[in-house]
Amino acid sequence: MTIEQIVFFAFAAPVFMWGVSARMRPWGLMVGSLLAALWWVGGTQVATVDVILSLLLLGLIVSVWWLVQPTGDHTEENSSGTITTEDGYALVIMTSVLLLLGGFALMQTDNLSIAVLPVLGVVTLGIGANSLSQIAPSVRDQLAQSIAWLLIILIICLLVSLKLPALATFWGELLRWDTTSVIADSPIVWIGFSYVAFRIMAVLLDYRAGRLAKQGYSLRDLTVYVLFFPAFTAGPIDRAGRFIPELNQPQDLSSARLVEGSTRIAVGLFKKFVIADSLALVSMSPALIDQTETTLGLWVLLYLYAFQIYFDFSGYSDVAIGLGRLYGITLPENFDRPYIQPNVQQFWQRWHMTLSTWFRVYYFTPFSRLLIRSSYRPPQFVIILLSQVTTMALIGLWHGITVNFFLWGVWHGVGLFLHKMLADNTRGWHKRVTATVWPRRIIYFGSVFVTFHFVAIGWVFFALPGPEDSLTILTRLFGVGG
Amino acid sequence: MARWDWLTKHKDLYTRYFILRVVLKATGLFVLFNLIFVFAQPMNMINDVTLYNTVFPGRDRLPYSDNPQAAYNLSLGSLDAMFASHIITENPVEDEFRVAIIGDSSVWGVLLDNDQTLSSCLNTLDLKSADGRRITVYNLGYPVLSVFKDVLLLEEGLNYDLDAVIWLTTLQALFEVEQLRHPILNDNASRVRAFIAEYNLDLDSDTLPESTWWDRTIVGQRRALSDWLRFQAYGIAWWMTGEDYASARYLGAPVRNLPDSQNILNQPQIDVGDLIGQDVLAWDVLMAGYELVAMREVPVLLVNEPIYRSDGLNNELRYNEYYPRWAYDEYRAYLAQLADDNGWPYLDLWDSLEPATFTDTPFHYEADVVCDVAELISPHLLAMID
Repeated sequence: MTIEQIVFFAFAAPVFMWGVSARMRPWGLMVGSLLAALWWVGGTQVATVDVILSLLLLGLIVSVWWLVQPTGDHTEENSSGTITTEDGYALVIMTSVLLLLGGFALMQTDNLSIAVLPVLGVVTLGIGANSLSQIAPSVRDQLAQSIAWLLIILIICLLVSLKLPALATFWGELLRWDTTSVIADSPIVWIGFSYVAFRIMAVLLDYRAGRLAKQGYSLRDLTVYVLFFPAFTAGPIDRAGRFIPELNQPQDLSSARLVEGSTRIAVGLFKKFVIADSLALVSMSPALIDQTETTLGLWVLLYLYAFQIYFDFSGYSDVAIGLGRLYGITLPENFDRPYIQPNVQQFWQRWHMTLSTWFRVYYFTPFSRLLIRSSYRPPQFVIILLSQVTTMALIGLWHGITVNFFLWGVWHGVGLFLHKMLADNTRGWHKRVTATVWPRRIIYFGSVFVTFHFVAIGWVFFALPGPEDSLTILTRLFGVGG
Repeated sequence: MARWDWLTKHKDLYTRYFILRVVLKATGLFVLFNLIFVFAQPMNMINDVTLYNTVFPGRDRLPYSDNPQAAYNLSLGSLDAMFASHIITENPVEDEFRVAIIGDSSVWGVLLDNDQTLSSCLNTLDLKSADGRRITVYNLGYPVLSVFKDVLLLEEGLNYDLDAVIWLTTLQALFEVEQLRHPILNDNASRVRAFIAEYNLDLDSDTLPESTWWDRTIVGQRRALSDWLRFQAYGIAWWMTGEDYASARYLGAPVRNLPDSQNILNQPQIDVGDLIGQDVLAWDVLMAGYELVAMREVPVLLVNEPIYRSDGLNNELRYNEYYPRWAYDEYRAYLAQLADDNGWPYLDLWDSLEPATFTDTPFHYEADVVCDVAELISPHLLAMID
């Protein structure tokens, strides 16, 4: 989000909250989120690729909504697949926004595909929704489980396509056949999809695990949950089970909320646009590292990068949380003083908390259980090692499918494993030593120092493009190599 | 929970009346601070505050960049901020003989690293003054073709214990209409206006922008504040890398095949054979510069800088895309005469370099020959100061 967008959303909040009745606010949030999401996908110059991505986005939401509908008592006569009036309104809104996008795009170009695609999308959406509503509940249940898997696989494929540089470039070149601008050959970028994908997958995985509310979710609520504009571009990743009930019990914009929200936005703006953007001028980058000759210089660049990435990301989260408050939604916290934690486990409980929670719930715990329950149950330490390393490697790959993001994840996975082993084997000693004040303080500050440096060194993989660069810098950081 | 609740923990206080008071107070404070800013003008003080020469080493050349992110450098408006970052503001070393070299982009070192500039080459010659002091040459060049800009930088540079000055110039830097056009002169308009008045120069100071009341507020000065902050941040990268220039693009060699025209580039109003007579050159600015140094008894070596001389089409009419032969010859003759009449030490290096050694314009030359130019200058410098 740009400063202009943030300021616009912030100033629009009181108008919206005080001007629209509580009953109508979720509808307003749906329209606003749809418009914002499609704006972020398309930008000011809409090309066919943007229309395709928008259709895909809305198609995914509608599919998931259909899946999570309750199926009644499983008799042909009592089919509950009928679309409710509220869902009908939601479909009309989606259709209108899609047509608006097509119309807007058509104003900029004479490429007819831009006009035809939204119409085709709307027709498909209508036929699809109608056909799905005719399916008998018993058949539907059998289909739904398979479709849920198919959708998860589709989303993972989309994520891989977007995050694997070669594939992203391939799709960019393929889908921008009608674009003559300088970006025609650049990789395809789908702003916010990493977060959208994880929200949708959370719903699908909860659905498969039977953790969803019995009444399912309305199309409106699901759309707002997936596309909620304050959290669309940079999270946090909320859970539907927490978000949607709050959406349906709208909070008024009280004076306290106004103060909390606007204070949080101000703090976020300062962190992102003053501190992080200033640090970005001189923090670790491939060019700057190449030109830096001294070991001390490299350490300074590394520290600056560590703080830049923290202030950048946590600043955006503050803005999202603040905007959420103004619009009546309490989004989950994402950062909580991560750099002053005494071990890497506590760091991950306070760094990008919603992402790490997502992976803990939907990958780490099920995977650990799978290993524990498997007939070839490996030793305990192997289970911990595999679970930690694969979880963190996946978190790394979520940022982009490159060797360096993978290595960054593995670095943290190994760190978490080593911490776990060390903590398990030194618990008694730690308890004895930390019984008195000064040893406790010394150990605490020492641990914070070591943890911060462990995390900071990990950023070398995160910030640089290739493993060779990273290894060169790592050796130079410790005074080895030229 | 992120620990921001200390800011907002007294929720029971947050009535609409409270918010109204906060908004009113914030507005009041905003207006008040802007008013204080208007009257106190703290930018002058802020521009003097710098991390250069203390936390980071001072810069070898004045801040300038057309590619800040890659160069870790920034074009600043304020002369105070520019000089505050420069190594010249460090206290003089005991046995140092301080020489400033002023001029345009060829002196600043466009397309050159900071260890390839004329000042750097002069320093590597390890020159000594007659009394045995080590000569240190400071680069006060700036990539703008205007002698007024040279004088402005000279005026500021003289505050830093200069013992001598080398002043490189060329015809293009002397056109009156070019003198006040550039951002560095517009950004220091009040200083320029005062200088014009003090030396009674034949320049129209009305073309300089007037500073409005709004310009003097925090809002009006936000760009200067932001630039100051960014420039301090770039100091870290300067310290780490020693880099202060990134060539955005190589523009290609100077034009070899020249137009069949007797006009001076961008000055078509000047009649052939009448450059000096038409009073279009700012000789008075040059003279004012000499008056300025004369008051401090600082000797100046005036150098007519090397130019590209094309050997291509129409070279019998023109030396290069800027200069027809008649105009440049008139200028050279007059400059030599002026120096002779006033007893100024003068060195004409106009044809000292081969055409193949020039890079993108008729004034920029390759790093390899910069030190050759320095070697041509050094004996004259030594002769002047002895």
